[in-house]
Amino acid sequence: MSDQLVTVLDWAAILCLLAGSLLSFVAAVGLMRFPDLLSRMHTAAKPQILGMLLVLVGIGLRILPVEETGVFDFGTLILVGLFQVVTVPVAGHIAARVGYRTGRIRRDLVVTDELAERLDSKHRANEGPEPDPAQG
Amino acid sequence: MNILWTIVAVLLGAAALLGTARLLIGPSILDRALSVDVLLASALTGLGAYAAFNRDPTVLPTLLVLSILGFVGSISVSKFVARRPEEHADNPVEPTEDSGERRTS
Amino acid sequence: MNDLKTRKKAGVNALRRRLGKVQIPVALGMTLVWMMLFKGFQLRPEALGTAAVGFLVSVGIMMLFPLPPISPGFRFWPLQCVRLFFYVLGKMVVSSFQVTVQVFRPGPPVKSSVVAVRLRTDADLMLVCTAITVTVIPGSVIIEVAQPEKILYVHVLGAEDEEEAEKAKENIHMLEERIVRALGTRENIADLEAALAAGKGSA
Repeated sequence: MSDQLVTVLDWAAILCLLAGSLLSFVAAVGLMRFPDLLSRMHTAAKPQILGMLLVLVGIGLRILPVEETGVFDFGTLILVGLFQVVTVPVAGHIAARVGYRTGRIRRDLVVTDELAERLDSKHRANEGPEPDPAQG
Repeated sequence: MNILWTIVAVLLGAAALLGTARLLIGPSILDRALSVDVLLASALTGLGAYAAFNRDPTVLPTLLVLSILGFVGSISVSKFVARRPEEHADNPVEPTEDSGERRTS
Repeated sequence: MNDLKTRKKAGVNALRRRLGKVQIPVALGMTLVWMMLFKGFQLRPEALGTAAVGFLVSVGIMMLFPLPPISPGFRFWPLQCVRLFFYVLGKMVVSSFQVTVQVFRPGPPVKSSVVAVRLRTDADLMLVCTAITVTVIPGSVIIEVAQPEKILYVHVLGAEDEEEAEKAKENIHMLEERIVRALGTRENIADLEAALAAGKGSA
């Protein structure tokens, strides 16, 4: 591979890594600044998915030119990306559900809450006790 | 180019510090689990940056293991909290229903 | 002697039942993952062995932990899949930027709202895909899924009034439409189009 191409790839890679670490940093700042658990969850999911994908692209661009076998490490990279995209939302959903049910949400910061309306009406209709969050 | 690599390192370090701060403050277990997630994400990014800087693919399986570890960890913490919500809730969403349930059981 | 024979027969029957639970496409997908783990696409003599062992391992896993088949199945619509991919990627970048702005904005803390979105297709797989994609996009997290009614309860960051909540709902409907068009079976797509026509008629 020509030197010029390698330089271009390196610059693209470092930009990806820079963006990824910036997302990490923003997530950490959001973790400190946001008032309740559910808002924090939004910032936390960001470096885990988009940041991770950017970093993976960066690594791929960096190891692409090294040796002939460099391309075959892409399998691992793709797998990491795939796992991350599939598992992080699941973990986030379970944490958000438990957080909501245990009252880790600031009522004064929620404008409309259609889930609370549903839980209320269900309670009033007396359809039996709510399912335990552990069953979800 | 070197400056940019340094900036990446500094940003990740700052992210880890802030995450640790939230880990120490965090009022509930779920907040702490979340900040551990963010810490883990910055660790993943850091390992990735190391791999990219040295053009070294040997640490890539570690990324895979860490990403699965984070998933299992945060799910088990959430399940643990879900099993005994009353101990961690300072204002439960459905107080009446909750107490009613406890009375009947 | 006879007893041993019948027991053997029962064992063989159980094995056959277990083998019947193996879904070949899923096993092939797992083999693909296995190949990726061990650099199986490199052209070398070990690659074939990797594929064979991977297939055996995935069949073994499916016999040990049998799962019900994905009920209505799915099919790929390549063009729509590419469109969905770029749509989601674009959404992710844009809303990451929005969340970043919200993080650094001085003043009072950001408000948010919880909206209920009723999905228009019946398939479980579409529900799961939509839920995952909604959570992948920053700024919205699924809190609760009401299963029989197909309602997603989504926490939307930065939706400070009714109008923005409505907008978030529309976005999720749009996402669902694109996912069904990319991965749904023909029946799913027909369902969706009927629902779309009905919605337009009433509106």
